Amino acid sequence: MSLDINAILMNLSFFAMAAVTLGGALGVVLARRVFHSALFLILSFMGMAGLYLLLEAEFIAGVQVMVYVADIAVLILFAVMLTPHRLELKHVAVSNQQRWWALVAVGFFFVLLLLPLFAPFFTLNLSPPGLTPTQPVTWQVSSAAPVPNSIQALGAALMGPYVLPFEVLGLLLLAILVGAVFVARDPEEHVEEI
Amino acid sequence: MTTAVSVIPLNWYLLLAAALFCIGIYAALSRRNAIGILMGVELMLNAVNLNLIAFWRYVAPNQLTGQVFVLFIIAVAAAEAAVGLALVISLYRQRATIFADEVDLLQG
Repeated sequence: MSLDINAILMNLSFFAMAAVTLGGALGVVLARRVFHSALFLILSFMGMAGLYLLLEAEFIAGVQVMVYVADIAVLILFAVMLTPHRLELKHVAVSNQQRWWALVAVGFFFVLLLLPLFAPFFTLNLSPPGLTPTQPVTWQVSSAAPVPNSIQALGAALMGPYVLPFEVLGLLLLAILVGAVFVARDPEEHVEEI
Repeated sequence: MTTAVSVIPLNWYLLLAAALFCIGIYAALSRRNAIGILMGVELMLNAVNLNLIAFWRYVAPNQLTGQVFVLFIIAVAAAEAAVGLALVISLYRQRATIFADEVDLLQG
């Protein structure tokens, strides 16, 4: 495969989306003001939606934009604005005292996650003695085409084999709706009797 | 015919998801602001969703299980965010702070 323009474009779009997603995530961690963190979070969610499009999950990409960007991120922005705080002051620390240890632990965890992906490059044998040494994990990549007309098929699946979890989820969302209103209400405020 | 699946290996998606998950853990562990912690949790959930969709597309694209799973996770994540932020607002009403390390009611 010398100069395949399609391959180059797909690689480019993957790396662009990955850069947007990772950059947004890093911005969430590094931004000093929590409002900026929320905006970076929106950027990261949009990059993720692009990755879903690249993976040919169009409906999931739409749901990602509608639920995460339009719902969760706006909810977070509301919460940020409803709780005026002292973070804007320069001398108030953004991170707690365990951040360096957290960094060490997370770095170690990242290396552990990478080990099965790049096992041929690591000669570490993580198995206990007596067992076979760790093999690089390979997944059986299928060459089948994705489900055609997937939105229709998804709707049929949600109303067919997955109808019980679907209904339970509806019940959960109702409970969450009532519960969130109950938890966030002002306890001092008494509703007037009509 | 060139498709994205034949050009981009599955491991790249897994690598990206691992990095996102770690950034989310770090945000949840190191932020003092309770809303920042919730944002870290959202990042972690997103990383898992990316993993699931990538596995769906590469390993079992002719079944719908992966997409349905991600839909359920997104709905539960929205519920989690709603309750978490309601708790933060309630906390702010009671203690006038949203710093997680200043809430030491149970510390004794």
